[in-house]
Amino acid sequence: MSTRTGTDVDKITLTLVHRQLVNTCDEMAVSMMRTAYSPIFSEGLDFSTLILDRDGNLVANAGLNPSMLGASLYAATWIVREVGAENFAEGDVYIHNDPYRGGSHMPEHMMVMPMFVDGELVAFIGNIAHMAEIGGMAPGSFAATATDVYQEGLRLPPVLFYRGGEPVRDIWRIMLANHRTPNDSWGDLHAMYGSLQVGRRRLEQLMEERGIDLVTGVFSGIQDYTEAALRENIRALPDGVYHGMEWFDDDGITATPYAIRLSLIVDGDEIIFDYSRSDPQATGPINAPYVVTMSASLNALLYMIGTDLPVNAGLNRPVRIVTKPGTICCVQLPGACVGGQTEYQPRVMEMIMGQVLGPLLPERAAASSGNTSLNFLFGGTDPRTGDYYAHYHFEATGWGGRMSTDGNNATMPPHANCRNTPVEIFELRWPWIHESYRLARDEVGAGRLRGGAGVVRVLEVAADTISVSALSDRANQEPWGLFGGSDGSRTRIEISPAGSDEFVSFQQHFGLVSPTKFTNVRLHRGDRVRLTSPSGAGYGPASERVPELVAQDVREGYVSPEDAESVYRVRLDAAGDVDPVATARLREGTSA
Amino acid sequence: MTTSPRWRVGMDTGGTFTDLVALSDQGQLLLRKVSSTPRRPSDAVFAALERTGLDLTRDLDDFVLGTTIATNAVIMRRGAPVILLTTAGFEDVLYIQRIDRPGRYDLQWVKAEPYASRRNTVGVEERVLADGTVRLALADEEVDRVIETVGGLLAEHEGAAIAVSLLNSYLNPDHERALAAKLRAAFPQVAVSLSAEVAPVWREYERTATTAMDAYVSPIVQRFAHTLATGLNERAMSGWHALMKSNGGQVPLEHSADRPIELVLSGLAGGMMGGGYWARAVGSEKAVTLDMGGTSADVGVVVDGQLQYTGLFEVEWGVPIAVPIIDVSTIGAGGSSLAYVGNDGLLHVGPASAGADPGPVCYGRGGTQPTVTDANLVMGRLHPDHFLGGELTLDAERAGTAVAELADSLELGVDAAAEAVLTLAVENMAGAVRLVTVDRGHDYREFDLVAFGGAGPLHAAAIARHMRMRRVIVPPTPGLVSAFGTIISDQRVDRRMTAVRRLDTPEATDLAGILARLAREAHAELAAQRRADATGDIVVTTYVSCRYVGQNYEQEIRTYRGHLDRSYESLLPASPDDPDLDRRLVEMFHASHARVYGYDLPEQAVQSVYVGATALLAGGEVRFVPYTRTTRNPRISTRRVQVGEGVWADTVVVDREELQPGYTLNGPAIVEEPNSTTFVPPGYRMEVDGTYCLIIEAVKGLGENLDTGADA
Repeated sequence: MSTRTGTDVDKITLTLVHRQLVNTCDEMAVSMMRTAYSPIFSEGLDFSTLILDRDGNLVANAGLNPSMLGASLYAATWIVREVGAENFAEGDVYIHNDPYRGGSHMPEHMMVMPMFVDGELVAFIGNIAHMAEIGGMAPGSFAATATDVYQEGLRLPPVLFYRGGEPVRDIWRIMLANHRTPNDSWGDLHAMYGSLQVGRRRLEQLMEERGIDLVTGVFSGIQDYTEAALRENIRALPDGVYHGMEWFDDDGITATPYAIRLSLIVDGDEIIFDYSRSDPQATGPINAPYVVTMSASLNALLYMIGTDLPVNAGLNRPVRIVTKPGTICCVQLPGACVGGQTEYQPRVMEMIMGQVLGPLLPERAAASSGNTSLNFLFGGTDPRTGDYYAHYHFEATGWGGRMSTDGNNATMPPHANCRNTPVEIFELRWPWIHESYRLARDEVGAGRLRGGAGVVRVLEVAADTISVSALSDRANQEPWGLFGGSDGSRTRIEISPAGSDEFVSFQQHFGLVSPTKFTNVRLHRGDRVRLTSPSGAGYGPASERVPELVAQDVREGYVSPEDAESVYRVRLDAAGDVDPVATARLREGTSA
Repeated sequence: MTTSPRWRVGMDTGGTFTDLVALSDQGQLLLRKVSSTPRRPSDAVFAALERTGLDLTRDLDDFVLGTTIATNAVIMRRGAPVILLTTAGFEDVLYIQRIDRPGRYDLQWVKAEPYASRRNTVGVEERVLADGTVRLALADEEVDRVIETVGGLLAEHEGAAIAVSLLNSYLNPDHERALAAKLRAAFPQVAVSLSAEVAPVWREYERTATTAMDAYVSPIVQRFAHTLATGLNERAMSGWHALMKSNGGQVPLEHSADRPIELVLSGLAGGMMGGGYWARAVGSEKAVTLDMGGTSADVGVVVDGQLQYTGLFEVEWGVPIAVPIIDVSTIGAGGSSLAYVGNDGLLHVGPASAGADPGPVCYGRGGTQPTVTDANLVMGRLHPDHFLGGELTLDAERAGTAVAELADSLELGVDAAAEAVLTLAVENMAGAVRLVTVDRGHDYREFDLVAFGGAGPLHAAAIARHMRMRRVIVPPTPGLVSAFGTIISDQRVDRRMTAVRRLDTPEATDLAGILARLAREAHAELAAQRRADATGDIVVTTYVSCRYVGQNYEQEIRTYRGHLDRSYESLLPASPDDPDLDRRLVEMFHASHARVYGYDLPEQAVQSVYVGATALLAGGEVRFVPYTRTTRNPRISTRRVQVGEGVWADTVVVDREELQPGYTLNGPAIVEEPNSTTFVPPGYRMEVDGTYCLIIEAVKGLGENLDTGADA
């Protein structure tokens, strides 16, 4: 009877309409990519597009960036509760970025627009996008030395951004006055708004064709489907309690490590992630809001069940995530937390996928990837145009080895799925000149299946001065190997001052607390920066690697001839081919 | 005045068969189908030509060939070793790619292997900056060093080709050109592909990948074009000789190896053009075209009679080709696709193929693993004596043994195993249909399925039923639609270049001049190549890709469509040499942005990125009678056929060459013709329409699994 719950739909219709909803999100994403201003949108694709039911529950999204899952599931429901369902009107758009109101971290802005049919609120169209510059203490708004959220940029509770289709100019003016690159913000905000219009048109069309009852029926039906399928997958896991632990090098403020501790409980068709024994919240920005802990847990689970489930609010139902407020897994106001999304999330995800669930599901597990986003921020005035610019840059890392394949080279860690900015676009946009952008081939973690290579990027400052900041980790501890595989390599952020040929760490050269977390370091024309992202770890003992693959690795620069013998126990002849007899003898020696 | 007919010949070399269609100016039609000769594809071309019985030295006006030679090299990774030259420091560009991946939740995903290995990549000390200025000049000594290194690599890798892709060469190609001159002088036998010529687009990965693939297929394409030209000359063949390009246009044979990358989808383009022709002919507003041959199935989309295009085609995930191509999705599913039990203990069908040689088991040429064709034969859907018009007698016994062996390893009965093979093949093709429809925002349930290729009509109804599509349309002589499509394709010349200009500044004042030049160049080249029997006018379109300053992607604004010499026919306000072009362009861009994205930014400056011109000469009208033996009372025979779910039934068999428009038949039924067999399942009804297409639709009310929902 009620249009609100919709009608029951058969499975084929459910599958197809859901697919159409996902396609709508894809179209919104294409619109956003093609109209955005900052390359982090248009090239980096660091955004998600969403369709939500009238309560703000996620129904469908475009498959772009897994790390936004938590906010996609949670932030809109917060907005609906805080604003009040009765207060939305046709043509309204709300904007929001508050990690203390369901957001992940402040650069990620969410827009939601209500949809009405015959005066009744039936759905929301939404998106979440990482804006490159939102003010705060460091250009690029990724301040690794922030000690509270107020230093991290302009915080927005859910506020009306468009009223009845007209921009709310005062909010625009406040935002643009607080962002260092208001032109880019202006273009990106328009791109976000435009993608909502694309989504609205398509959803209206769908509702016209299929009828509102059927579409809202799919909204709830698809959530039920995902819940049921997830429960079935959880039931397949052996009941029990499983543990994992991970460390951060430091929080950017003091040189002490921080621990994340997880007890994972599988109980029938439900699963509990208990993080409550983790360390108290840090002073610096490595903390995670609850939403980010939720995101990491659900993402890891989705990877490990190995089925392509429709992603929606049904995911939440069989899963409990327990954290203790005031720990780094559930930061409390006014704690800094911008790094939770890019550093904490991958660390927690891979801990679950490798250490915790890996022994249960070795065919789906992987050794650790480089596991950091290696955020490198910069800003200044472009001498070519006189315009102020700021940018949030990240690097790919190597992936860890898997049961039957080596880790991928230069790929975003599993928590994220962004593209790099082509060198040609990079240099057009910002006053840097690349000396090189290549793989760190000789740093891969050894193993039966070895890790993939991270990247090395060398950049020269092509302006009088550029202010740079960084937020990364893994400089003190390598990515861990799995089932006897060797560790990967560490993050390095280095400088070669103008006129010098030598690279030394930023930490050493500038006397910083942390090797990977710093804010507003001033560089000058001719200074060179070298960013080395970690290479992935190995899976299984190196001495079990197929000898011919080792010979190939030596030819392609992944393994040195010395390591072939000492680590992999493979003897190569003068032509670089495997000497089978000598290799067999060497390997006998290891197993004896 | 002579009355002897003039002939147009279209050909299509597939992985399994090489097809020929010849149409005369008097409405006659000749069809020939011969086995492909993968080791020397041109042999089959000549064999088919000889078998037309035409006087090749006199009777032919033109000859157009679609070839899979480049496609197969790419898909099967059988191209030439590529020696890649990049700017020093950026040698890993093909390995780094764009650092993203397809699925979100697959930790086992494997990144695509580059077409040029790192060991064969040479870094060149040189540097052009993002404004096109030179930071590090290309020194003579450096060129010498590179030549020496390349020489060493060439000695190691026989038959290698060279690709050069330097940073920012789309702005300033001087270093690439200088290297190319020296490389071509030093290694005159070796193909050299320059990124500034192959795909002068920014973004170094996409440009480099495209250039590397151009080189990868270059030696194979060159060899093929040379062999073909030699053979045609030996036969003193009359008329104009051309190959199909991936954009559905024709390129004269003598220029076909200039841009080998443009031939990567040559073999698909004929099918797409042919499928589009028949969709228009039967008045289908939305159609999926399915061209299923021996080794692969190609799926495209026709909306309102127009094929869809893409500027960035992915050969596989993460391996782009940045040249304009018809939007098509290809999977390894054809008659020769192998059915086998994989390591996971499950049945698989394709993508591995028995190809033309040995081909399916039933060909009796040494194949032992069963294929889709073998399964069809075992089920009685193919007749052993009626394959290829009886030219090849199929060995049903051998096929039966092979399918029985497969059935044993699956612990199934033979019937069930054969049916499982077809079900999997259908599911694979359904996946390809989803890709070109759903992933582009189309609902396939609103689409007709235009099925052709030798194997398409056997499986089309099953696909349509599985996906609840509307009608199945089987064009006349389905096995030769691709060859037919090459005949009706247009002549086409493209010109494209980068011209980044802000339209609100004086720097944009040269745009109109550039466009006019490109338009005239394209027009002049096509006029010079004009086919003898073409009657239409050359139509030139020009476009400028624009964006708001600060955006990163462009929208194509068409600025002119007309005949150049008759500007009053211009359909759009800006002619190529309109002095007000930049102002008009800005207006058109705002309007287009608002139309496509729902908003525009009237205050924001607009900038151009690409400018281009296309000259098009429409293929001549065709008029022919596909079947000449039609009769009011076609002979009807019956045979036992496994029609589905283990059921064998007496099934009506008719000869398509005898069917007149208006003839109808209820399934289960089989329609045979020399180059294809159409299966009409139970619950379906077939009608021959006025164009001689078979229109197959579900009959309503015959059980739930037969309900297509088309009328829902």
